[in-house]
Amino acid sequence: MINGLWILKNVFTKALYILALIGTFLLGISFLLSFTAIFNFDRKPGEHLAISFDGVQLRLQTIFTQLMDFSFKDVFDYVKNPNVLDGFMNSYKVLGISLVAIIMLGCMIGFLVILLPIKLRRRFHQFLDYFEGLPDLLFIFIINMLNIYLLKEFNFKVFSMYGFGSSQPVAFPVIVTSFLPAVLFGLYLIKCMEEEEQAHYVQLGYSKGLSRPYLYSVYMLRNILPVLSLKFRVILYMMLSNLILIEHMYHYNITLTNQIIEQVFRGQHVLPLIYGIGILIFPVILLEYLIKLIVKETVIRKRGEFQL
Amino acid sequence: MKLPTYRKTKISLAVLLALLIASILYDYIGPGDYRSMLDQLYDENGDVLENPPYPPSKDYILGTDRDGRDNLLLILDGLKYTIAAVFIVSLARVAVGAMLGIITETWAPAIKAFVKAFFLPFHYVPLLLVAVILMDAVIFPFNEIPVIVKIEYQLIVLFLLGFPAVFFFTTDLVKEISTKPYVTSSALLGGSKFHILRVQILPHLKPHLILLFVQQVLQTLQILMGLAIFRLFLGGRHEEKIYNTSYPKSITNELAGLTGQNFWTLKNAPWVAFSSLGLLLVIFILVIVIKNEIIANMDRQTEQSGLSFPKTKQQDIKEDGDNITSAKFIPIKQKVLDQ
Repeated sequence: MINGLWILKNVFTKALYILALIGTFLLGISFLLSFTAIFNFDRKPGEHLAISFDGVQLRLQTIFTQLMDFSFKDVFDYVKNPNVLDGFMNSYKVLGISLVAIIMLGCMIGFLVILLPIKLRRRFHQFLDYFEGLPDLLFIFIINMLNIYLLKEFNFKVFSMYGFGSSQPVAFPVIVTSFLPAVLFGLYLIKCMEEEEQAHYVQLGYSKGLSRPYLYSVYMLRNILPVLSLKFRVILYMMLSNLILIEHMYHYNITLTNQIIEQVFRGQHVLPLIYGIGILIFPVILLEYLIKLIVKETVIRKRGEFQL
Repeated sequence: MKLPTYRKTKISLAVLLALLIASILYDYIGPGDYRSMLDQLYDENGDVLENPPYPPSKDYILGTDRDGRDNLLLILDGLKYTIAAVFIVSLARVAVGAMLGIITETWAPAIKAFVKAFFLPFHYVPLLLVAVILMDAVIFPFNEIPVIVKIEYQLIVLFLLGFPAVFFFTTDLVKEISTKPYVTSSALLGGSKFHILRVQILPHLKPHLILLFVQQVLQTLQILMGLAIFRLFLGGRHEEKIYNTSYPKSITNELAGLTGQNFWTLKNAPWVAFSSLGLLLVIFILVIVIKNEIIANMDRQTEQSGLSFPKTKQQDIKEDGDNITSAKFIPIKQKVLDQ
């Protein structure tokens, strides 16, 4: 009897805790959407920004009321909208191809550098370190400029860049979305491998006469996957940021970014904006968790060393 | 143990400081005002030879923009706003985020889950998109909000974007340091939470916070550049017609804003966009040099700390060395016999 009550109390406490967390999450979204209401912008020249809570309560109330209108039917209706569906397909076509390109190019850069002689490898590593922190926009400008230069000087159009009208380029957004993330993926791979090189099994592998490419690609790659998967999150979100930037910069019409920006500029109700953002980030969140799960099931369960 | 010299950091900081001073001094002692546009180029018959933007020349090293304004003077004027905004935002993020992170992890770790739930949108939604959502209504060009108010609001938004990351980085780091044997030993010996924080956690946290500050500088610069593409320039925009075409222009001439506003000149006048982008690239490289040197020195110190003795220990041994005489030693055989 006492045991039963104790279990009931535990379940009740946990349910309350989860409810409180969900409430905090909703409060966070409402805070984000009503952030401007915290300030008083009605200032004269020479005056500074002031905080005013007059409108906050009303704004929060409005947003909470609008959030209460949420229903799964609404979400399906929103997704069924041809513009949203086509936008999703277009955006994720670019993201999907970019992801494959990033993994392939990143692995190529990583393995090429790691298999170089130590001195040369250090030089390349130092060079690649500079890419960690450089802005995406720099590479977008450079690739854009290169394309224009080739067109002007040699009348050779490598790929179309702008999305005026109904045209929806794929090659250009894929290249600019994946270039910097691929270099960073290669860099992360090198860093992880260099750390793993200190492990005893690698020394044993050398002493048994295993070749370096075999040791790196078969044994070490498998063992660095847990750490690499953690860093892969950065790559995924960088790719998403790049895509938003590109789709807006080059006027791609039927895209998710366009749908979201339209809601930001003209939206009356907060739910379409939340649906739009949700659809944009949901596959990425899903992929992130899928990678974690696969690594957990395939590597960590066998080795039991890393905790994700 | 060899102490790190931070030579590259000093040089990079000196260059950044020199650029900043040049930008501040420009307002007082700079050559001709960039705002006065250059005239059209005429031949001897009075016919127009060329329209702005003029390419780089001996007189105008970086050429002119679409309004005939000298690019070099423009970027020199805007540099101080970029550096000031980025410095203030990064410092505020690290100071407030780290302080709250330390307090939360030390005295109230239970509320971490709620802070995480509150800031969950910042964790999953790209920061650029969050910034656009928060800034759009205020930076809208056709409102009466004074420029200074707009700038203050933008700085607050930029601070908010990086705050959760700094907060959770600090809580994780404090948690990691708290599990070290010397910290648990100190707690077992009766050290208060404040004592442990002051004596054992903060000294280890300091270098990480400096590195975090440098990383925040890079991130803030990147977001400013992204926002400029959405025409959300620092201080807002104006569309004043200076030459013959009106286009959205940054009010402050801040570097990221100049880069964003001149994106469309890439095709016909690449020097316009690349002049501000070039200076931004210089700033990025200088900050990355600082970051890399800090990381390298931290790694080196971690490697060396495992091999060396603390300085105080060595001094103790040296002091004791003078008192060591053969009379103080007991031969083993005698010791065994005594037992």
